[in-house]
Amino acid sequence: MKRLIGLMLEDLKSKLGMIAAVWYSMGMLCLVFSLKNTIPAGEVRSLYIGPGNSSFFVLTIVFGILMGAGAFRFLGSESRTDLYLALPFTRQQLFGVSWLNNLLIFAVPLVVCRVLFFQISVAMGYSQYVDGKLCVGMGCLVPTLGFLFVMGLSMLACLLAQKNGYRIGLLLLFLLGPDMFLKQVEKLLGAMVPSFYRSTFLETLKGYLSPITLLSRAAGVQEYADGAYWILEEHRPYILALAGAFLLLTVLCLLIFWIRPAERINAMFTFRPVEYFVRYGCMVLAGLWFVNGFQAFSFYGFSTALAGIAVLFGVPVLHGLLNMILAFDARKFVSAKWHLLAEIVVMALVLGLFSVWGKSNEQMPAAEKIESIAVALPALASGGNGEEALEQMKMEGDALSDVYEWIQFICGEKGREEDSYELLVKYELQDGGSKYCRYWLPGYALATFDEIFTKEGYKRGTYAALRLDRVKYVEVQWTNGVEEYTLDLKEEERQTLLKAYQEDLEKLTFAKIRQRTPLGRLTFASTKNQGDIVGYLYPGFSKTLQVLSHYGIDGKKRIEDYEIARIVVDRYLLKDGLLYRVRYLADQKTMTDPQQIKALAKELSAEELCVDELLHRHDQNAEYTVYYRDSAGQTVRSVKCLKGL
Amino acid sequence: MIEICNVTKRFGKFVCLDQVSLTIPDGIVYGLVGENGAGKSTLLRLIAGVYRADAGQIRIDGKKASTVAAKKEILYMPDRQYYDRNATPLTIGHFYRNFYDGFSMEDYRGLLEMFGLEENALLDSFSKGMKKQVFLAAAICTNTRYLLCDEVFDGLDPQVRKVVNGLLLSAVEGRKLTLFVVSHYLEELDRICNEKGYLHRGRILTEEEWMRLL
Repeated sequence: MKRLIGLMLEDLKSKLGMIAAVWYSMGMLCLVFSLKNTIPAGEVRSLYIGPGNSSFFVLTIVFGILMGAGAFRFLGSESRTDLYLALPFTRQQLFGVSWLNNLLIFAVPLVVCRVLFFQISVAMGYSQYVDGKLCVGMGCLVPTLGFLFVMGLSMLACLLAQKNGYRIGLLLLFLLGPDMFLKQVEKLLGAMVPSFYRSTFLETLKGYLSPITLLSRAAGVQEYADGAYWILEEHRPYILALAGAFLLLTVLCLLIFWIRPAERINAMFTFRPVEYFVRYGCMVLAGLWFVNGFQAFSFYGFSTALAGIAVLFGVPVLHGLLNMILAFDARKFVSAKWHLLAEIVVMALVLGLFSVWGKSNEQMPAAEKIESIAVALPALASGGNGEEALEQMKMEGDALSDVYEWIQFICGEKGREEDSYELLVKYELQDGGSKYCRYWLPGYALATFDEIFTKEGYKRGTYAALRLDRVKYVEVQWTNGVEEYTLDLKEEERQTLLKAYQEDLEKLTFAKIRQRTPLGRLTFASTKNQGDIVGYLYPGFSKTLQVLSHYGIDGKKRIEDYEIARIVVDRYLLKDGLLYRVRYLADQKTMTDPQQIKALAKELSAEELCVDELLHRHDQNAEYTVYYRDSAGQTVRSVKCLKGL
Repeated sequence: MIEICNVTKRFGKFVCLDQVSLTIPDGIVYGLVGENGAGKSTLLRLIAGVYRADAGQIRIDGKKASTVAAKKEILYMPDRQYYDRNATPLTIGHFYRNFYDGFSMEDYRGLLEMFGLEENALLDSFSKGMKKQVFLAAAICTNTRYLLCDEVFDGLDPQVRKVVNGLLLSAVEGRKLTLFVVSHYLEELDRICNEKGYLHRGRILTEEEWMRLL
């Protein structure tokens, strides 16, 4: 034991710089947090002392990588290897001491700083002791687990590669490879299978296999960014997965440290199989990227011929590049010919595998197996986020069978065409699973969407304002794109306004959205950390407009109702390139004639209200800047507008 | 006793040691001679447990090399010693005291004084020979039963070499230290060794074979 303590102390002595860096970084963060003197109580609890804090998240990753890389630095120098490996310790003991020291170097300042800051926040009344205990506990545990996980990956990369460049490359492959691979697979499936939108299986894999995603989900960085509360139940599976992953990695690192030769090897990687792993891993990643890239030339669909060309021409090029990188020698471009053959076969197999998998998921689920259905038309941007609508909507019973039939007959298995609209569908299955599909609604059949729009459950799922509870928002903002007011309402007034808006929204038809540009927009600003909800006002929203008029707001006021001084028209020309459309200014005209202005202003709408552009088209080739006098008539202001088609 | 039995060590395709067998009895000074790249340092690293043999076995007093029990009895002094940038002779002493139960700080300080080395001076300010003296002093004072020295005389002037020889021999006689020395200095080895071995291209040669090569 005495010798082990001695070894720990000697190891700590060699890491004094890192110790100072960790204490300094964490201490500075706590100092900065403590200096903030306007922190709402809820925010302190979940944002600063909780695990999702993004500053601590970054420190976790950075120190994990640095300490993992520095753990067995002695293996990089012959004289240090001679010294450490000849000492009377087993390799397991050397590993254990370095691992434990790194853990202490990170965890001790973390715990001290977090607890200290928590005590400060309690003393200053920002946080409550009872509520904050779990947050502080998790704020210490999750970053520590995350640190050990990242450190394990960094150690593994350093133990497996022989040179620093390859170590960095291998670590990047570990950290980013799974996510990049799954994203390419999603892209490929999206191109291969017209109805593929999202796979819950791939989403799950992404959540658990991608180190950065796993870490951020366990910590709840997204909640931190959104300012939402941190709830343990939502993060438990990721925390457990993180704990399992770090244990597995630690055992793997120990095993590799134990069997790893101490001498420097004249190769890129310590063990031959690692080179194969890197070669084929990179090849599949780059190959998929190449195949997906080639599909850009196929326009709306998957071309097997292009995929074949990408494999036959892309793989040899990538093979040559990989040869050069792995050997760090440009002359090696043409070498390892058998590997080239194997790589082409592997790529063809991978593509074949995904093609088979995609085809098996192509069909719509049988009607009798569906529990509920959700539909989102992303072109209906005034309805908010389509993804959120899919999660919020549940159409069952008659509505379910009607929507199912509508999808079957209108969309079917049609691919994307030039004039078609993306339609996202989520099937909740009776076996508890769910299936996400993407269909393309032909432009000529867009009007039939009115049938879906009026189904029970559609609007409630699409429009967040219909799900809004009056107590959840504290103020309302109104704008018509020209003016903007914030209404500070009492509880009953809020209730009245919301009720009026909800009643008007229930009467809204899809046809009206397609024909009319909104008159204005309401923003229901909720309490901190809950997010704001936006709702558009259409002509015919009489109840809401009436309530607004009580507060002196003329909700019907349009561009033409202002005193316009001049309108500047910027006309653009669009030129089609091979992959992109280029837009450039062709001419600019200033209109000052009152008659012309009056005639034109009737057709203009404020640009920020033209949200459903795909449904209700405006002239995108021209931009109108309207200069108007404000209510006092003294100041000229401007607003960007679009003209209806 | 150090028993090396059919030990083979490869670096990639290069066979550094090819089925080397050697027995070094306790209490002797064994010298190993060989040209550059013959595998001398590799053999010492294998005995010290730094490297692992691809084939064969090495035992120290019957215990497998690379086990803690075997390593406790050995001190390996490589040709190039690693030390921290801020190291002084005193911190070197403390370092070895942490790991070797028999380390005598008193003797170590005495040896430093004998060599005329300032115990608080930075090691970086020392010459190559002075550094070697520090590590040699530390190695002797660990009081292990086996001392493996790689190019121990390198960088030492003839006068210091004589003192070092005297120190090593007194340890061999006094506390039955077994000394395994690898060197190019054949005359020096002749002076202190009881037994000598000749390593050529990974194989141990007899004296006659060695002489023929010369």
